[in-house]
Amino acid sequence: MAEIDVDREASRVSEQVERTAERAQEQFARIGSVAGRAESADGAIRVEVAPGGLLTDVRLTHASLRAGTDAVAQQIVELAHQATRRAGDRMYRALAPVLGPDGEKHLSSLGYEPLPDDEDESAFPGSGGR
Amino acid sequence: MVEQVPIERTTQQLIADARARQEALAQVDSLMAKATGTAHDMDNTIELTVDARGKLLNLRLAPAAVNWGPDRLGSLIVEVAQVAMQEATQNSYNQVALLLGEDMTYLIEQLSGMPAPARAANDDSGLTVEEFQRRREERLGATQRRAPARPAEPEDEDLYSFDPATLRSDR
Repeated sequence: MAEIDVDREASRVSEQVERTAERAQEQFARIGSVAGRAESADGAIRVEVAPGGLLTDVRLTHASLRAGTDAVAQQIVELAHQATRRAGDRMYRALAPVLGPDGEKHLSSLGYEPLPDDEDESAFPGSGGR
Repeated sequence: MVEQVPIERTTQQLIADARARQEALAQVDSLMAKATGTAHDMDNTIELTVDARGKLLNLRLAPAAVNWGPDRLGSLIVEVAQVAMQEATQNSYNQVALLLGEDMTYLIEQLSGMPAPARAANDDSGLTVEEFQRRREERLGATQRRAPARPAEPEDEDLYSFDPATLRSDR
């Protein structure tokens, strides 16, 4: 069994990590915000989530509350899911080119997956409600 | 918490250890995915559940929630979601700790930059931070009332001003 030069391996790995981190940072700078957003068709409910799905902003209007709290709650959950998928798509697009094919399965295990073309954010300008 | 162990093992043993860790770490993902946290506001008008990555799984709004008005309701939902995520994070670390042990979990907390919220008394329920604080104050008040009624000697002052909350076991 060939002997492993532990020091050289360690520095090789840390160099690789640094290079990847640098490239990831460039990608994030290029893509801008990785937050995911979605809003109802009438614009009365808007949500924003961080990658992973944590709500970072919920904007409601008086009009939206008239539908009743159950309807509002259900709509927020649906919009949050849509926003989460969009944030996952952004994370995927930012990190997949950096990590390569091996990294892609890690990204999808984190929930960062590309959106199918028909659900692309640009295909839904300012909409998102059902 | 992480002990420094002198390296006395053979390369083969180190590789076997690394493989075992890798297998254990592979399970971390699924544990993280399964952990959830639930929280509610103090008036119980909002209750929501998220997973350890923050994804909203469930949201319940009581009819009285409309009384907050749209702006306040929106920001309250965000606040409760953050508390719920802390719960979920703690829950996932608790499970990871069962699998990998305390030291390894601590290491993961350091690497992820997301330390486990204190293993607090509010771990089991959707208790909010405010509610936990209120109960803690009640508890402290009760402790102080149990103190002997005799007037304190001047040199005893330190004893009576001692805050039991500084004890680790009070967390």
